[in-house]
Amino acid sequence: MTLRQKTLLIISITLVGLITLLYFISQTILLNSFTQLEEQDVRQNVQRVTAALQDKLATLDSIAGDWAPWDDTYKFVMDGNETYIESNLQESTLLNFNINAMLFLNTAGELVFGKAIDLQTQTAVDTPPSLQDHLANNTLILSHTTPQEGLSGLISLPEGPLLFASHPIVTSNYEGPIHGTLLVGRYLDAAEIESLAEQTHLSISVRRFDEAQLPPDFQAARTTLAPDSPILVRPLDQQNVAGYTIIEDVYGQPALLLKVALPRNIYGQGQASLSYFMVSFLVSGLVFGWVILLLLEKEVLSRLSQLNWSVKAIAEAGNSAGRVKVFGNDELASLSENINKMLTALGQSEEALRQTHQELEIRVEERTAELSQSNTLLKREIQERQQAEHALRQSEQRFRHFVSSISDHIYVTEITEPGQRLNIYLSPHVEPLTGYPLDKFIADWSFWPSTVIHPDDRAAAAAQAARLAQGQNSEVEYRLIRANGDIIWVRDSGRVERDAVRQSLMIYGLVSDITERKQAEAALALAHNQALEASRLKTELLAKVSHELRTPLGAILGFAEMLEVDLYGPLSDKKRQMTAKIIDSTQYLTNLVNELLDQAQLEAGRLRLNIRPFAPADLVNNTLARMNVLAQAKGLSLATDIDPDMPAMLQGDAARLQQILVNLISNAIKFTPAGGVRVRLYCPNADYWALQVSDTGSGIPKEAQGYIFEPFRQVDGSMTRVQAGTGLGLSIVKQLTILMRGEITLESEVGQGSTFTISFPLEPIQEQIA
Amino acid sequence: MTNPLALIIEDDPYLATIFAEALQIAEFETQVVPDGRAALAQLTTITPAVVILDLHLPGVSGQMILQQIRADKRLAKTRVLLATADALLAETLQEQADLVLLKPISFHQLRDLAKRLRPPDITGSG
Repeated sequence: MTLRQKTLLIISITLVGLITLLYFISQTILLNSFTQLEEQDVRQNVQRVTAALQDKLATLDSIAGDWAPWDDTYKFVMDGNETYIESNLQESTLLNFNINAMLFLNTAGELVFGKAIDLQTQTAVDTPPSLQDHLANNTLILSHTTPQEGLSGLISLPEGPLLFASHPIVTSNYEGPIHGTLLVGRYLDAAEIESLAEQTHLSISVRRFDEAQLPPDFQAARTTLAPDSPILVRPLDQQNVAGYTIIEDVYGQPALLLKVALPRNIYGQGQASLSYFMVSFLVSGLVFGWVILLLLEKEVLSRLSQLNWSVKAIAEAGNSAGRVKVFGNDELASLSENINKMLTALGQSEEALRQTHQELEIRVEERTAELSQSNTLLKREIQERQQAEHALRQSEQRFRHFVSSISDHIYVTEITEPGQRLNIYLSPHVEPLTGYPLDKFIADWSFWPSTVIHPDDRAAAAAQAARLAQGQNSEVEYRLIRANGDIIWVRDSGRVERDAVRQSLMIYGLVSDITERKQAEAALALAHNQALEASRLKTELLAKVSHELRTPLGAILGFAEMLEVDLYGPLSDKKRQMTAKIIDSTQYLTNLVNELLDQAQLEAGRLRLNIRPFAPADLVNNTLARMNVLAQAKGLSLATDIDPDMPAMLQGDAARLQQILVNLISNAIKFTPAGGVRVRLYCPNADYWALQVSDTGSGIPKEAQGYIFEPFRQVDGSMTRVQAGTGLGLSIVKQLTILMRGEITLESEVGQGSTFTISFPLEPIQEQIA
Repeated sequence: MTNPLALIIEDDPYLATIFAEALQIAEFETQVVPDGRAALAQLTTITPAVVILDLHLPGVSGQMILQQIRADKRLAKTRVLLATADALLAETLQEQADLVLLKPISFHQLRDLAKRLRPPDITGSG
């Protein structure tokens, strides 16, 4: 139900409820008042009618009061004089008085004279006998005690009710004695009632009280009326209302029922007013309702509806960027503004949410990727695990095969607390190893250390056990005494693992028979010592040989030189040539001896360097001066290139450096057929100095560059006598360089010449202590 | 006018001959002693300008003779040339000797060295 419908419903219900309430209230209060007014009116009218009836009686009383105290009447009663009747009492008299009868009675109650008339027909009739009977039976009417005293009232006669008045007949001066009673009567007939109705302008009807066939409303009135409520008011219908009252006879007995019918003017007016009021109220209510609805519609509902549509449109579009329009400056405008604020906040939070969502998605993707990756890893791990399990089974099987196939003894021991050892596993190979049955070891773990281990080695074995107990892996070799008394060597290798579950140390041990190895080792040690001895002897021999060779070489060289300088007489050219060859060969041999000795010294590690300060430039220049002859002999140039930044003095073994330089230069000259040799002295960087010997020779093949520094190796065997060397030169050069903490490099290509570079660390010059 | 004296302590006769020839060409008077003990005895009587000393000698070693010479103030001006076949031993004695020559010793080299070792005043007696 829309708000509009609800509003309409509420206004309608309110209006209807209000009208209904108002209607009932007015009905109750207003109509009640009108009913009371009406009742009051009816009562008054009833009283008017009774008053009119009293008037009638008063008229009758005045007639009787006029006629009775009259001397003529007084005389007439006594004498019965006809003249009196003739002169005073004609029929017209009754007609004029509008009375039905006039009766003269004597004091005995006997009728003296009576005159009666039918007023309708205006003819004289007999005095009604019923009246005479009534008077005969009821003396009250005729009983007058004083001359003034009169009586009027109503009596019921069989032919109808009769209004009467009686006065005592006395003289005109009201002097007695009372000679009788004058009675005048008038039937309360339809004409009389009509007269009353005309007089009062009311609709009047009269019924006898004791009438058997009464209409229902009279019957109700007869039963309801009481002395304390003499008048009853009853609405007859919507248009008419009636008032009822009892008219008593002269004896105080109810004689007649009087009904006064009235149109319900007051009540009708009230009804009409009420209706007008209700209608006008209804109309104004409708008008106000409509106006309220209209105003509500204009000021609230349509705006609410518009707001609703705007919000709905925004909600359906799902776009928080939309805004509702703001009109006016009231709560709705405030609501719109608040909605806009809320939308702004919503937009912001949506944006934040969207970002969070995006981030979440990215994270979910990442996490998914991670998951899938870890899933893959997991699968791989499972596969690996299965493979590992398979491998483990295989490994276990292999282990069993392995354990049963190897000759070594395997044991697993657990140390639960210090001094408490427990054999977890003992391989059956302990039997062939020791000659004792396995049971002995299982029964007592100390059987091994206390009996089987050689007494001299027990301390070492105990030390190993102690190390293992401390969690350190330990390996020890000791001897065992077998059951048959044989002594064998074993290696007991124990590895410790801490078992976190059992809170203990697990020792995995392997006992291998190493007797053969021990024997081999002993043999090897012997052989090694022998080899060392042999090497020493070799070095000694070399030293000795070189020493012993030097003396005869000196003799050969000396005598040859003496021959050469003609000390023993002039030589022929041929002899001089031969002498020169002797000198040449001697020098070669001397060189060989020197190099052999150096090699032996280097091999034995006995070569000592003589480190002193020296001038490198002098070293180079002196060496080149020595070698110049050789170079010139081959027609080669020999150049030096000394870096001016070289330190003037260096620390080193100048003699050995010269040896190196001589070797390299002589090699270069030897293998350079044409061109020249260049020696460079320089510092390649701040920490090193270097000597470089380059030639324009045949170069050294790549494959040869690897081995030319090995002793007794040369590039090829097909060298001429001139090129022949010991094959030790470069080896010694390299060894000396290394001994001097230097480095040698070779750059060479076949046909492109060779460059040897030796570099040494620059060391501060130490002052010599004399 | 006599030449300065050169004492050649060398047990090898060939080498002794060669050394003597070289020194004589360098204008030294030469005496050759082939035995260490004899050489020590000889050194108590003469004051050579130059001693050519072999290290491996019968009797007393060359090393001992070198120490003896260095300990004798009379022989303070005596120049000692070690002529040895033992390269290692020669190195250790390098400080005490005036020159160390490793055998084989070139005749020319010894001759030229001896010439340089001749004392400037050659007027002294032998």
